[in-house]
Amino acid sequence: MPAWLAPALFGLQVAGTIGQGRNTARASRAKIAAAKAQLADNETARKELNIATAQQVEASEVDYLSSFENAGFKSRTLAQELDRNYEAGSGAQGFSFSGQAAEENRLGLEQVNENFTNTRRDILRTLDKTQADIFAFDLKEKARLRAEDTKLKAQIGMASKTNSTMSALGWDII
Amino acid sequence: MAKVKSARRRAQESIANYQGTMYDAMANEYISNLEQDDYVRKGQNISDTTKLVAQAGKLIDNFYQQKEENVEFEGYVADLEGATGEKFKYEHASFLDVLSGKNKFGEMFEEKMTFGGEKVTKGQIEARAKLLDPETIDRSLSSGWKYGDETKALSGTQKIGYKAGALMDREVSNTVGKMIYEGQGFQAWSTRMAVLDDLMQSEQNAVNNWFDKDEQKLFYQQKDIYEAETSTEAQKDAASDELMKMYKSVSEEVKGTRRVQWDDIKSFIEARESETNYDIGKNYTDDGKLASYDIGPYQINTNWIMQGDGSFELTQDKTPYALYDNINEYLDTITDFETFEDSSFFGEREGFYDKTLSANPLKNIDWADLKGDRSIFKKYRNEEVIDPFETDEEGNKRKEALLKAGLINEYWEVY
Repeated sequence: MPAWLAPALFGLQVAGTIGQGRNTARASRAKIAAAKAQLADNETARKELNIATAQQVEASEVDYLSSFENAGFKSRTLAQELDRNYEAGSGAQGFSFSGQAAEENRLGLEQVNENFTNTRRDILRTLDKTQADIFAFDLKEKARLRAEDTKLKAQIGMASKTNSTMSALGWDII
Repeated sequence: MAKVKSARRRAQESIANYQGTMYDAMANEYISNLEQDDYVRKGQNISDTTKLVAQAGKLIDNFYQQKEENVEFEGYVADLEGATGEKFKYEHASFLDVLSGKNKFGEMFEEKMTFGGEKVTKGQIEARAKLLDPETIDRSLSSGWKYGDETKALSGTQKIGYKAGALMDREVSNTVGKMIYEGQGFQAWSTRMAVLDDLMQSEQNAVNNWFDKDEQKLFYQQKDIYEAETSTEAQKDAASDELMKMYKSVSEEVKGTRRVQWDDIKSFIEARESETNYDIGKNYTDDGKLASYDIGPYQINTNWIMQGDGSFELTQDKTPYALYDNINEYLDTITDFETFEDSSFFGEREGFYDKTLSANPLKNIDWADLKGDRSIFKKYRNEEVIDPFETDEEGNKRKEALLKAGLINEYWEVY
């Protein structure tokens, strides 16, 4: 082996090692930049999520009110119909049937009232379910983003250990 | 008053909280994986760095070992040079030589060594040095060669190389020999005593009567004194002076005639000086250093064709030596071949950057090093080797002899 070959090969090896260190450092810096950008994106996502949650809650309440009003309107219309029929019936059949008609009218109104109460309960349950889903989604997403942040911060911390050629090669103690 | 939450909402929140703890758990698992990877990375770093440091240590150790070996080898070279008076020449093909096309890729970093004109290996040098009798080594005679020092021929000396080759030609050698014989005298030849001896014993002397009996008697008396081991230094000096007078008288011109003409003596000189036309002798100084070469059938000294210190270019009082000029004028007509341009450097000037040229750093760069025909990428690739004897068998024989003697390089440039 010629005398020059060993130093030349060693030189190549050193150059290769340093080159590898430089590439690692470059990759680490790119990783840090990407992680920081993702952290900023997560922050934006969190703000968007707050807005979306508030809007979804508002929308569910609007739905609730609308359904409640519809149910109330229907019940009132039905009660008015029952009253109209009762008054018309009692006038035509005379007093002898008025007690029975009054009883039937009362029972009818009770039924309308009970139906309205049930419908209202259903609407409230729906509202509760919708809002529970919204808040649960909000919580889940925030937890996911928080975990994602933790991972990204750890990634930045690790990549910071190799973001220069010397540190990537473990020579930063010199 | 706090708002009371419904059972459904509490249930949904509990599910959400549960989900949240799952997310937290997953995040913690992720972090734990990251930390685990980090420990693995740290371990790998320590392992890689340790390997690298160990390798660097081994390399440094090898380097010092190599350096020690080189110093040892320099010692062998010094010993051999000191014991034999021969010179060691070293050349190696650099990366630049390969890049410029002077050497092939396979020859990169190849070392070429010659000792006294003979191609040798490191092993041969070491073996020969180890076999030397320490008594014969005089390191003061060594060139002080350091490992890696290349023995480079002098640029622009191709013409001198051609002249050296021409001195192997019988006719040229005859003409130059005659000029020296008639200009400087017979004493210029180191074998003069033996030649004169041969001449006196020859039939031609009997016919031409160049030296009578008395002169012959005187010559042999002085020769015996000079050669006798019992003679004192003073006796030897006196004999040497007498012999010198006789040598001078051989070629001395008296009343328009010489005692022995060149054409009569040249065969005697040739017989004592050489065996073939391609013979190259070496002359050493008193302290054993190589001083000059003798070339051809009449062993013409290279100081007649070299320039500068040590050559015969100038007389002792630093005036041009007419005989030297005459010889070179004649040889110039014989060696009127194309020669190299100065090729000792790439580009337009020596070196790549000369900060003394300008305040503008760009103007200090010799861009011709990087582009053009003299660039490090093209210089040798584009340059046809100028060798007037390339297809000449006789010329090649001369070149071989000069190369072997270590007088010229492959481009006819002298060292």
